[in-house]
Formats: sequence, C-alpha cells, structure tokens
Amino acid sequence: MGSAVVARDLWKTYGSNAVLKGVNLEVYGLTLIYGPNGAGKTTLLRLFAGLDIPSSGYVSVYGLKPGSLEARRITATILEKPLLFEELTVEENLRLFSKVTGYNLGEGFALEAYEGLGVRKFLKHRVGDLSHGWRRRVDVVRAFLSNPKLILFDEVNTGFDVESLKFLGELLEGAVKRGSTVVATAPSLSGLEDIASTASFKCYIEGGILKCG
Amino acid sequence: MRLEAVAALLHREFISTERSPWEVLALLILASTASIPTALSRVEERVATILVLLFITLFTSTQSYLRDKWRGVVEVYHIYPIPPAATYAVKLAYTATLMALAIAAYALALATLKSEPGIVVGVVSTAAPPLIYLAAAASLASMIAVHLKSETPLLIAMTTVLSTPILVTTATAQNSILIILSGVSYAIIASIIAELID
Repeated sequence: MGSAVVARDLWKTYGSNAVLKGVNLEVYGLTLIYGPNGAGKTTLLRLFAGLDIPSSGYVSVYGLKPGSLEARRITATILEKPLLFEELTVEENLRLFSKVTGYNLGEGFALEAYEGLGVRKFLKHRVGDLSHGWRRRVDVVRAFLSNPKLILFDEVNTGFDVESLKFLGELLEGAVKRGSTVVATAPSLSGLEDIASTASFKCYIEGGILKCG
Repeated sequence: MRLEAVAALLHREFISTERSPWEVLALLILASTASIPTALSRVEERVATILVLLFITLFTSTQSYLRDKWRGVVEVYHIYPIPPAATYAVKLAYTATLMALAIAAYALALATLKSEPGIVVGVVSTAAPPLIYLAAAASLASMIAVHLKSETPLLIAMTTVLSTPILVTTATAQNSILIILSGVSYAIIASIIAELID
C-alpha cells in the first residue's frame, strides 16, 4: 500500500526554536503520534493540514501539497480548539459545512458519528453555550461530513469521556477499513488502548524528534 | 465553488452579526453622531461625507477577516476547499453592506438635524459610487493584516492608504460611473491578490 502521508527531513522553526527536527514519516492506516506537551505533535499535524508551512523539508498528503484546494477536499482536520462558529447553533454549523462540502449528514459516515456521539440533543443549542467536550463532539461530526480520505485528529483523548473515546476508536477504525488514513495525536497512550491496539504505526515524539515503531 | 456554498457563508456573516451586534451597533451610532459636527459646522457636505466615509472604512475593516481572527475561526477558511477569492467575495459583500448601513445612518441623522430630507440624496450620491472600492480596500487590508499576523496599527495604516485614492477622486471628480468601475476593477484585483496570498 502506498503511503498517504509523507514527510521527509521536515523541519519547523519559530525564530531560533526548532519545534520539528528532521521528521521522517510515511504512513497509512491509523497512526498515533504521542509525546509530552511541546514535543511538536500539533505542529506536525498543522503541517499535514497545510495550516503552517515547513521551514524546510518535504511533506505531502496523497501526493498533494498540504493546504492546496485538492488536499483540503480530501482532508478533515480536527484541532483541539473546535473550528465551529460559536454564534451559530449546532444545526446551523452542520448545515453550513454541509453546503460548503456538498455532502449531507445522511451521506458517508458523518451520520454514524452524529448518532454515536449523541450530538442530536444539542442541535438547537448555540455552539458557544456548549462545554468544550460537547464542542469537540460536534467538531468530529463536522469533520466527517466531507467523507474524508485523510483525518487529522489533534489531542484525540482531550475532551472525551471513556464511553465516547471507545466510540471514537470504533469510528476511526471503521474509517480506516473504508480506506481512509487517520493521523491522531495524544499526550500519551493512556486511555487510548482501543485505538492504539488497531494502529498501524505508533510514533513517539519528543523535542521535535520523531521515532516510529 | 458552488453558489449555494458562497451564499451560506455570506448568510453566516449576517447571522453572526445579528447574534453579536455590538460592533455594528457601535458603528451605526458613531456614524449617526458624526452628523452632529457636520450639521454644526460650515464644512461642505461633500467633504464631510468623504471624511465620514474614511472613518466608516476604517471601522468596517475590523469586521472583515479580523473579526474571524479575533473569534478564533479564521482557520475554517483554510481547512475547507473554499477558494480564497470566494472568501474574499463574501467578506467584500458583507463589508459593503455594513458600509451602506452606516452611510444610511449618517445621512438620516444629518437630514434630521438639518431638517432637510433632501440631504439624504446628496449624501448617497456622494457615498454610493466609491462604496465598492472602499469595501474592497477594507477587506483587502483586513486580509493582509491577518495574513501578516499583525493587527490594528497596520490595519489602520493600510486601510487609509488603500482608501485615499478613491476618496480624493470622489472629492474632485464628478464621474460616478468611472468611480464605480474603479471599484469593480479594484475588487477583481484584490480577489486575485487573495488567491496569491493564500
């Protein structure tokens, strides 16, 4: 199987601070990247999403330049801060992103996420009125609306309780079985046994240096 | 990008304003109160309108891309396949609407203070032709400020510089069609810049 996400000698520096140091990665399936705070996990994910550009090195997603329109069409990005419009209700957010992506909630596996994460009961609530955990759940549904080939999931165990984490594991496993690639980050593997057991790659990152096993 | 998607994004701008209207209310109140010195002074109405237009342009530039940055959602436009020119068109349309409302508030307040309803026509005939240009300038300045990760001081400087040519032209020239066409051309150039910057 070809690699969905490729990084070669990837560096990212902010001023004199090197956050990523020569990262090399070629992954498909489900990849878990874990490591302490400040290790570079989120920075790496943002490079895959095209939200940042590398200082040097090469990165591609399905052979496409991250952040290009073509790459965005096949990529779903879930950051720790949910990318939702807080003044709109959950329903309005999902309807808006439905129109932007051209997919409806009933298509693909967004509906599975919607039902499984219990988002229905908050449809008429403004996103700004929800707790962080529930915003994250809505954000997952938002991300799955586009039937993505690549799912980038930052801090996968933040904001989710044990039950929903278990469901997330099943959701991501289902996505991989359907041919998607998932790259998820977490501060540690604690609480992620279900997800970790199905991961094709588990990579540890610290001080900007990545090691995969 | 589908028109339905662009319309949905524009609709979101207005819904957001409806539910968090404080900045826009401030704009309308300030635009209305700008009519007081105009009514009390002997300055020519056209000149006063142009000065008020500059203020309105500066203010509305903060309601464009910068508003999304302050609310932490500007990255939404970078993770979805939304062409930058489409985002720019949405911001331009929204900014132009805000400016039109502010001009209307100013015109009505001035007409009321001077008890001359005909003033509204005069203000609108001065302010309407450069509206597209000014909305394009405000949105472009806002986009560049966000892209450069800079904020208010740069935004004020850029908006002023980008708006001045058309304001001077409006003050001196009487050709409304030319001014409108300048605005349309400017908007097209700015949307190309949006595609290049992203």
